Amino acid sequence: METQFIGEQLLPGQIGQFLLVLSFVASLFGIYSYVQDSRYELKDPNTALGWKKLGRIAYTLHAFSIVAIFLTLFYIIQNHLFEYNYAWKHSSKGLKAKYLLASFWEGSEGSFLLWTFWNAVLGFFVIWKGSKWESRVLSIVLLVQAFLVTLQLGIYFDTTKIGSSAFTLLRHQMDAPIFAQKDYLNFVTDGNGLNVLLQNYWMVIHPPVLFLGFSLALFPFAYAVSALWKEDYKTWINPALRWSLATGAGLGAGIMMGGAWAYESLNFGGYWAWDPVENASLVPWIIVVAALHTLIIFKSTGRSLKITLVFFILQYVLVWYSTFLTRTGVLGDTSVHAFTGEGSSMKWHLIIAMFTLLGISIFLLAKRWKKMPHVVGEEASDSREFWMLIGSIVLLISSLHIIFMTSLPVWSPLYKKISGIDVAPPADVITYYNNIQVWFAILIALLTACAQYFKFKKTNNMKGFWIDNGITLAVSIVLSVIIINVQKVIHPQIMVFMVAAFYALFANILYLFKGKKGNIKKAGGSVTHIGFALVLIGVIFSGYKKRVISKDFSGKVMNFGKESFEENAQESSNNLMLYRNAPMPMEDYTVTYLGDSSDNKNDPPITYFKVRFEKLDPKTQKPIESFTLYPDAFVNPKGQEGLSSNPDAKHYWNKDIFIYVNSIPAKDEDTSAYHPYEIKKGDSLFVNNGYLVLDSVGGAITNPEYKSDGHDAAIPLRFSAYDISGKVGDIQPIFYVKGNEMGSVYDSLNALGTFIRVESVNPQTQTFKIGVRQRAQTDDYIVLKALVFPYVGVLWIGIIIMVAGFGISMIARLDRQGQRPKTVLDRM
Amino acid sequence: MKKSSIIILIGIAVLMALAVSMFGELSTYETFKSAAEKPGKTFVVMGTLDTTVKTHYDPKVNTDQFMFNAIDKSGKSTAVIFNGTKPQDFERSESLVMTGSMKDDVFHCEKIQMKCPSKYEADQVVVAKPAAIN
Repeated sequence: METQFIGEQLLPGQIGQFLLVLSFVASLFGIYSYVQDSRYELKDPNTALGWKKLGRIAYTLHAFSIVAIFLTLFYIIQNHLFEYNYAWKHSSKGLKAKYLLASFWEGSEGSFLLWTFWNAVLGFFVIWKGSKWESRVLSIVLLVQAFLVTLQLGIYFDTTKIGSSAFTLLRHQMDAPIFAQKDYLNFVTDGNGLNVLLQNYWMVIHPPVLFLGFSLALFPFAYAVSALWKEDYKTWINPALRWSLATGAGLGAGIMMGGAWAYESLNFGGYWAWDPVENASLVPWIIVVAALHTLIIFKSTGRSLKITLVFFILQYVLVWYSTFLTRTGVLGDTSVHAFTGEGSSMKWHLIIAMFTLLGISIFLLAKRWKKMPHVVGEEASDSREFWMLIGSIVLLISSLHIIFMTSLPVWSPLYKKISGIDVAPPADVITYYNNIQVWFAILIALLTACAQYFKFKKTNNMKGFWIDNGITLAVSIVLSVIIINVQKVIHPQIMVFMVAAFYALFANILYLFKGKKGNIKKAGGSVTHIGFALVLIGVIFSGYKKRVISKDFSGKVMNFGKESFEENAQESSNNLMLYRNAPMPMEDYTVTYLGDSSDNKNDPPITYFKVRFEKLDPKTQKPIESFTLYPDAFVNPKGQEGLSSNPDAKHYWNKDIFIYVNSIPAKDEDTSAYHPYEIKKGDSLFVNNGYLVLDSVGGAITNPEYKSDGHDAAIPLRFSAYDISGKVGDIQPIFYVKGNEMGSVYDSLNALGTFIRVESVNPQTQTFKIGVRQRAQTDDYIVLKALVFPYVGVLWIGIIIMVAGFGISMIARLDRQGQRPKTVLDRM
Repeated sequence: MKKSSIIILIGIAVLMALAVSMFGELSTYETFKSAAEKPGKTFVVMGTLDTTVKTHYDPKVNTDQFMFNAIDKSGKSTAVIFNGTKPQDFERSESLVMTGSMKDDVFHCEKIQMKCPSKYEADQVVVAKPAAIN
């Protein structure tokens, strides 16, 4: 007989597991029904309709199961049911409510569930509006769903485990003697908690948006495959166009939020590091943008159908490939934030899914290739479609380069076998990518500027073309020359890049007013291009002119093997050590570290460092600007050693001052002794940076370190602490008697760097002997790194405009849906 | 020649140029000994922290210098100077991926990537004492 464990809530897990199986079976049934529907749709419309109804029932059943699974898992996490491995591993009781969602998708199972959820929800749009495309598109969607659900099943098939379930019990997941006890749950009082790096609001919003992007990417793919399947290359265009615009917006926003998270939470000092995980989501986005452009070519001229279909297939296969790269641990040592662990068992699962999707697509492409409609003859050099196609090919080559390089760990073992050389990524990955990708960015910027001034098929007014482009290009060159001189830009590729980016900006603004008569509704493309140009400008300024301002001018110069003394001096110290209350100069600012404070309610506790920046008028020495930043850090979180630090930034319209704490003194370095005092209630006591007053004896106990067992007598002493600016906090050491044992619990106040404990109590005189320890001034410091990112705001605004542009285009195409103008294809 | 053929040829040429240039930029995985054969040239060395030698980081002397010993795949322990602050959870790292160059028997390291067992996973059950009955 199975052991009955005490206190377990098994029902939610059983419901969840049942729904997983149900959703899987429903997806298979749905595929079968929809495929039947597509087979009968011409031969026997009535039978087809019956199958379609069954397909819809299956789809709805599947989708509702997924939504219910989503809610069940959320219930488990929210109620801290630590009998479930997922809740135990990714959440804890002290976690703030807003981060419960972040812990939902911290793990592999939860993030797959999120992805499945979006696919299921989006599919309803196809039932609603898909009409004759519904059967084929949804059978492809359900095929993808079937793969995704198997990844979450966690069922043993003989000895092979299929997927990994979020509803696995802790006692099944782990093998420990404690699980032999019936009441083991009494001992598992708290979960493991959420990784401190992910305790950031961007982590609540970034994964849902990114996975929404991945889910959106499925639909243009499904339409492209359906078009091949149905051999109908006309009516898929408009829905595919809308879905790919939505993908551009969704995936773009998701990637941007990842960058914002990196900027605000990780201290690698930037928003983009060409990390494999970032690259893996960027590449599908680049390809879908390329596909979008070739689809417009096809819509307007009937050309470029084949390349469009290839792009749509490629972008979605790359979504799966990026999942493969980031989830299976194959990236290994090359990525900072790849998922680890369970990956290896998933490897073959993902490879099978990827090659099934690829196989179906290639089979259909090969079968239809010869019979696809095409336009005889070549594009004219003065036609818009020619330059749009060139742009799409540039995007393709750019993304092939990124993905090939990112895949280095995948192909390097093979290369080692052939050549015997064990290759590693370039020593400086960021510079490597920047130096190559800048040329693609230049080409793309130039093409977004000029291509739309051509007309489809043939441009009659070439004189107007040269005037518009000549003026905007000339303005860009003049502006760039001025900036290059003022900002002292020395790298030629950056000079060219700047001209191209400004040209893209001005040419698109001009086109918005001249070509589109300022009608924003119809000019989604121009808006997107303007946003893109602003992103490039933001990248140039914030990236190229980024500088470290926390220079140490103490004169110590280490030899770092650089060529010149200056370079060595520069490398010597990019971090500045700040003793508390000792101002240090930092560029135009005087920077003072004012102390730290802890938030113990957070899990794990978080420490805030108060750093004041003051700008003095050089003549009068009066402060003209003053602000305080609070970079924070998790100190020794969860038994780890060291700091996990989060930056803080001061935002100006033209720059960000960005700081983070790199190091603080280790606690055990603090060896100063307790100094004895004897005091009474009402007495005050002077310490290094202020004074303390013993306000009260007895009363409520607030010291979190003290745990009463009900059989003790405790005397809390409450001190108010003041510095020159006023009260800074309370400090409450405790003296207690437990049986015939006496003891003391110390308390500390970081704002004054003071620790107090009660040594003894004299009941006759009502006096207390206390020990006060002051953190030595030399042990009270932070090591700070400060950077300036000029014009980083331009980048964020650019991304928002770009995403808005996609949205405008999509809405415009929704409006025009009913009154579709005749396209070239209708005449073919 | 057809325009599309020219475009394809240019595309292939660019890709090939990129591939060739890439292999020039790539670093290689080495041991401390093989890295020492070309002093000053940047390589990637994989290894583990030598726990028999104490790590050293004193921001009062230099905020950007962290020293430790690492054992590479051949089992040789070598002094490493990292040009930066001491990374979080360094002592608990399972393996180190160090990018830098050898100079006078010391590995000057520009970048360290650590693999920590605890970073995203913690497969130990934290067992608390049963809550006291009040």
